[in-house]
Amino acid sequence: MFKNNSFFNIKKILLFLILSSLIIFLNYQVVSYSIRKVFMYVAYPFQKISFRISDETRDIYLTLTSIANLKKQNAELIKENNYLLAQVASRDDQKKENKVLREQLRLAPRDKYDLETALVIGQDPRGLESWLIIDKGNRQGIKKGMPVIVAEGILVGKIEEVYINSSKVTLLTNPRSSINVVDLETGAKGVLVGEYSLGLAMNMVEQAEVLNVGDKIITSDLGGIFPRGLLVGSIQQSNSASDKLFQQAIIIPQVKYANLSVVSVIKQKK
Amino acid sequence: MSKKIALISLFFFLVILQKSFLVNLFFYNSVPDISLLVIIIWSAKKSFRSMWIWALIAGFMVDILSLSQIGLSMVSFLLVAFLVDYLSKKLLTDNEIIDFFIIMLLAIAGTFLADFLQLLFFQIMNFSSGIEVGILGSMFPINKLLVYLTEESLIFAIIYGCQKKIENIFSRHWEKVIV
Repeated sequence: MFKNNSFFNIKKILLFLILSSLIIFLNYQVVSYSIRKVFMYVAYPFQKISFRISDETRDIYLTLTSIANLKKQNAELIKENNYLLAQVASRDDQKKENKVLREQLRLAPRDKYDLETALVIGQDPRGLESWLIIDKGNRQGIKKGMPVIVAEGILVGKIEEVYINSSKVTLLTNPRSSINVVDLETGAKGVLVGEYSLGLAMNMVEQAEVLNVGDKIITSDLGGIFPRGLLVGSIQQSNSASDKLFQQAIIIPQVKYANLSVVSVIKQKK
Repeated sequence: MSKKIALISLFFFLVILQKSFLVNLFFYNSVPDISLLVIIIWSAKKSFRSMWIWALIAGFMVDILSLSQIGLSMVSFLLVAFLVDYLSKKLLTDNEIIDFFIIMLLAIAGTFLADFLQLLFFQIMNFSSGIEVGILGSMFPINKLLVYLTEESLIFAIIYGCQKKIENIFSRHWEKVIV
């Protein structure tokens, strides 16, 4: 109905397809990084503002939807509070025990690292490659390869690209992500790989090793990229077919990556 | 010239809207590709000759600001725009309501085709690094797919409703930007 008489030069299109295929497959990182750096610099303030606004909007929406359940939740919380008070006494003993275990396992407490706290200002909207954009970059001393954590040492990914004011964080669920991990309970070693935003898989676990559902998975210091003891997730399911060379396990991430709004970058060990 | 810059800026802000605003408000953080929907609607209503350069520019903006490989979206947008143009010539009628649903179907099919092409290129590019879809299965779990389709139809309807206004803004400009 609005159509013009269609005419296009098929040679131009073919030429474009050949050129674009070359751009895609030859992967000129240097060229694309330079162009992207300029665009990211211009986009930075808009990204930061719009992500903050939408984050606040989501929080308001979640607050409004939760008001209806407040009365019920309040009753449950009072009940839970009484139960927790009874538990506190016995926790003191366990706290001491934890301190000893932490030293033995060399788990990574936050105060051991020089951290740079950053706000998330962008996310992969399509889920093809899991990544975040944070509001800290070259100016704040962020460098490629630095681990990114949340809360008390939960690993979520690492810095892949650094721009002037922002950085790209590759999440563990990114298919390019591959890190050495260990089962906290049994000591089974393996390689954690991302599964296209769908989750995490622990591969290359020898048949002789033991993997139990619910076991915590932490980083090992093999490879030297991540410090030992950063929590990754827990085992949801393990596949240990005897005819295969290695076992495999599905890992549930410890945090929901889609809801991250603040992360910390490990700049160096203190 | 200023209209061209305005159109380029439009795609720039659509990508920012998609990845830094809407991404927090949609289920599964999976936001329909707004720039592609705009290109599909315009390709269905205009000619490929006048649209192909904008398909490339929109794809470039998505690639550069979504931190994906430059060229992935450019190629997929261009192919989708071409197919939409070809099919819409054969399918569109003079009935606006029927046309709306035809273009909606083309938009849904087009975005899936673009996603598929990007995944395909991504798989080919990473073949040497041994990356493959593993034990967790396919890219499109059924619950995610249904939510995505609903969200996409909603976004499509909004853009379709707004496109008249955008057309009015750029109407005098359209013929001048034919490349």
